[in-house]
Amino acid sequence: MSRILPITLLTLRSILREKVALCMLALLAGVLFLLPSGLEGDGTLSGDVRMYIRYTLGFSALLMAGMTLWVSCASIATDLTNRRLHMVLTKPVSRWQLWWGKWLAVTILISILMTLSGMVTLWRVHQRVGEESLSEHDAAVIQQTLITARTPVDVPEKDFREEAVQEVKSRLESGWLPPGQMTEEEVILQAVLYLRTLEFSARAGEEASWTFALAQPVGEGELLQLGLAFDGTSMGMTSLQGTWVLGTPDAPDLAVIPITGSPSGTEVFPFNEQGEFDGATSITARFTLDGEEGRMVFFKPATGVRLYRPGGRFAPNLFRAVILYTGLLALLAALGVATSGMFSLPVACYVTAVFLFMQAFSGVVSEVIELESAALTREDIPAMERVLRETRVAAFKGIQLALRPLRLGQPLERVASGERIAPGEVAGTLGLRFLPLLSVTALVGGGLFLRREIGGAV
Amino acid sequence: MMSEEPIVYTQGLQKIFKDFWRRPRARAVDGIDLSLKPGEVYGLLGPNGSGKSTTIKVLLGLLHPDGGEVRVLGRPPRDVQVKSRVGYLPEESYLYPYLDARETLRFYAALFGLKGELREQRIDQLLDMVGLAHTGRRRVGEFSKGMARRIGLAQALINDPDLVILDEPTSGLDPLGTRQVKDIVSALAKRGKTILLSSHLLADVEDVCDRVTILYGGKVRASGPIRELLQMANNLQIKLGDLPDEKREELLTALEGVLGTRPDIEPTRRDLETLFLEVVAQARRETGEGSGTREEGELAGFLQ
Amino acid sequence: MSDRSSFFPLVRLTCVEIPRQPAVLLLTTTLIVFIGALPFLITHNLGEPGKLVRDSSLAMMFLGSLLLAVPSACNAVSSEIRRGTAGAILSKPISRMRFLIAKYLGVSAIMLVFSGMATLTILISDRAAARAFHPGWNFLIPLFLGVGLSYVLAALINFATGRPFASTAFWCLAAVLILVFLWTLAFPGGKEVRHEQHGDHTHEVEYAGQVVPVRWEIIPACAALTCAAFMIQALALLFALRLGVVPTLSACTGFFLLGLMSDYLLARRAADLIWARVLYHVMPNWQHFWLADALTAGGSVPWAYVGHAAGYALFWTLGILLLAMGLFDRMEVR
Repeated sequence: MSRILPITLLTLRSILREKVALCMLALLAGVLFLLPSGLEGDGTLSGDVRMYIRYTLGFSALLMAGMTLWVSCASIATDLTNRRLHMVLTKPVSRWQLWWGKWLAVTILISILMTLSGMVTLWRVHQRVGEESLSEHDAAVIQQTLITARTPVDVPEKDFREEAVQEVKSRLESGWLPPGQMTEEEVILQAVLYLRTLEFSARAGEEASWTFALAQPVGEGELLQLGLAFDGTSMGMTSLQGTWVLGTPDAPDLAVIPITGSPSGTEVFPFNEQGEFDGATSITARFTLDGEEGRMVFFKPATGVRLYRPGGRFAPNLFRAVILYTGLLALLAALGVATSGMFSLPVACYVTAVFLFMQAFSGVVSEVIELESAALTREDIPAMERVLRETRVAAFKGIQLALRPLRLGQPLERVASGERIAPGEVAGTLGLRFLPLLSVTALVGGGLFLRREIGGAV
Repeated sequence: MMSEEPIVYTQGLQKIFKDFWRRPRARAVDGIDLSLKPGEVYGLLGPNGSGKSTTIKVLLGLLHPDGGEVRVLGRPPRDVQVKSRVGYLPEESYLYPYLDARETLRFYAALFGLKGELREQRIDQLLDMVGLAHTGRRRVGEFSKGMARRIGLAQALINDPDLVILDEPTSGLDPLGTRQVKDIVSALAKRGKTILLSSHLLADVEDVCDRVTILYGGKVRASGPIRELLQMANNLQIKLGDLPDEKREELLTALEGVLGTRPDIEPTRRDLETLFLEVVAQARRETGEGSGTREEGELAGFLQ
Repeated sequence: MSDRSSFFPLVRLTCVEIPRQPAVLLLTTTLIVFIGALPFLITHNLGEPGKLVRDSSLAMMFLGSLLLAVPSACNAVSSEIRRGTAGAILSKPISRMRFLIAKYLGVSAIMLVFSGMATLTILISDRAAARAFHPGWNFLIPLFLGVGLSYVLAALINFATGRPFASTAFWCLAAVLILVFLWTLAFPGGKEVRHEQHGDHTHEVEYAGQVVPVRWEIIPACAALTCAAFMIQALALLFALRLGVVPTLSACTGFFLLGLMSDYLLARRAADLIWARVLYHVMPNWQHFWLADALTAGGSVPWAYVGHAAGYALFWTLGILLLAMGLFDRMEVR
């Protein structure tokens, strides 16, 4: 450790003195202070704060990922290009120590910046809430709906396969032809996707309903919230108007929430302020979209209509998310330092960026595997095409496997939507997923760096 | 007979640079044998591209040999323990430009695990020795080439090494600095340090080295004690002190009698370096100024 | 006279140097492979064949131009100044203005080749995406084989002659892409697909012997993006005079994002706030070059519009370059 620390301190000093940190701070300040002034919420306190949290956390996450990528990739590569490592590696410092020293520096830097952005976010949120002169009741509502951590309750996942088979059958009977060379399995899969989308949509004039089963009955005075993630723009809607009616199976009309405004967005509506849902173990939500026939709004499948229950305070939740995200960045830093020890700066950046990019595309990867596997059930595929498709599925499964340990469930995005992140999840993710992965990256990266010759010609 | 383990030992050392396809592109070092005894100053001579720096990088464990045996201080060169007893000055001082002189030395001292009072003491002495004590908070990136060489030399000595490897130590230095480095090298040798010095400035090597090896094309072309290599058995020189004119004439006539021809006689010439040093020393005395460097190549206290 | 004669060697040198950076080859290859992969990565087409593929690939091309512009400009200017090679060149009879213009033209030539390659790939990829859930392998296989072939070819040339792999592969890729495009024109294979309405449902109907046509309208859309790329290039060159890679990338990304969002962020405030009005006019507006929506809506992009966009880009580029020249003229070069 006594050899690692000087390397760490030197790297931090270089980041500070070569104005890289200044550049980072300027960009971060831009995201935390300037960006919000360019954004326009819906004018309400709740809308403004939600927008602020979502955008600042989202942009800082993006910015921090970019910074981590750059600083970690530059860590060894620039010292190699400038031949400073010639001097350092002739001292009694092993290359492992150099590797960990560099990684530690990047991790310390990103931890500081992430904590800073978390603290500024927290401060700005409280400042914005403090600006309003709220009644005690409104302040309590804000406290429980906005600056809070909530546990989501989702509509149970439904298996649409049976229904899809029936749907396809009835369509075929009515003279419908499936497109092109689609197999039966592909057609069914499409029908499943279609039905799942329909399940989370509402047509004008028709009532759509969902039921939430609660593991624990609603406590006395427990403020509940209805969380919505919706989009009506794909059907050409410019504004949305409708009514939510909430209740229990025995008393279905306990609360009415009219909604109006933007055709897409993420909103949260509190209810049970009078305690009318106290003791309920099941809650129903019905929605009627206003307007002429043909209008339609889509909710995000599975999570577009959810019930939130109080789950803790906002600040600790935010910092748990910050810790989780910092963990991911630390892993990215390890990858950056590893590539930095092997390649020149631009190539190291490229390799690490591809990794980040693939991470962003992991959702698409799963979708392709699903569709391709369905397509492969067809028997009339020419041999060559089958080989190609099978190779593709295998390659994508490999990518999926490689990315699985890193699937974080986007902690900052979850915090922005008010979702609670359990401390156990943080400990589990860091201990069981990141630590082993970090060790493997360090072992491979450091090992390859160990074999590298320094100062060779030709 | 006393058998003393060599400080640096290579036998048939080979280093071949290869292209992407692993085809040999350049045979940089081709079967070099070296054996450095403790306390000697060993010179590695050769034109550019002769394999001097490559040999040094192999000795430092930066490059891996393709053949032959290498041992430094009795161990393989990549052993971290070896490095704690070695000081190295590369051909160009690759320094961290955002650090000042003291911070630079502090960093390298920390890599040797030096701490507290001992570290600060050594830094003070080294900065004083290389004449950079006055640079204050000035960043190394703003240093002239000569100053960068000086700080490079200081970092090479921070650990009080047993083996000092100096690659072109005088490049970029003015004659004063050159003289100072040569004096430091001699003083270190007197203290029992082993010094491997690579240079293509022959006068520097001649002044300080006990033994030399001349490389060309990666191979040893000549090797041995410098006195023996430079000795020309059939060419003699008589050195005389101040002679009055009539004595000089008498001597010439006597020599003419012995040799059959009258030999040429010329007054002894100083070399340009000596003249330069004398002029500068005189100028200093007159103006009472200094360039910041010590006049003598006096060693730092902890090295004495 | 010697000033003029040393101008073109400088342009040529820049053209030779930039593709030698492995990152340029990697970026180009990624762009081509990614655009080629879009037809099977994006499985939905929302009823508009190729729309998502076209939009995404044009966006990739735009972003790729930014990512190429910054390291190229830094390599051409800031690295040269730092290494001292700029000083060596300027000690020869060449004026600073010519030096900078030569650098800009050299980098722009590579940008042009890059945009050309992206355009050809988008044309091929668009045809491959004509049918939902069934990527046109008859287009994609030659494309991927072409990428592989150019790497193999470059490796062979490197093995036999020792020419640098990265730049050889870059030029091979450019040549092979043209051949692949001509191949897909000559041997289109496949079948044309039409969407026919039968009662409540739309059917995809294949017509044997007919082919998926090339959507030539993509070319003007790509040409407009190339004009934007030249502008970004000038911006990157301006920043690279004083800054390193990170600050240059940050500044260019800032301009890029602000320029993209200026309609949203600034235009609506321009009426009330003077700073918003000033900033709105000072920021380059990249929306002028984004023709993907026009491509989807109208099906074609008039060349006259591209001409206007080119004029806008030229105006900006000249302005930025003049600023850069003014800055460079006062700069001390080691």
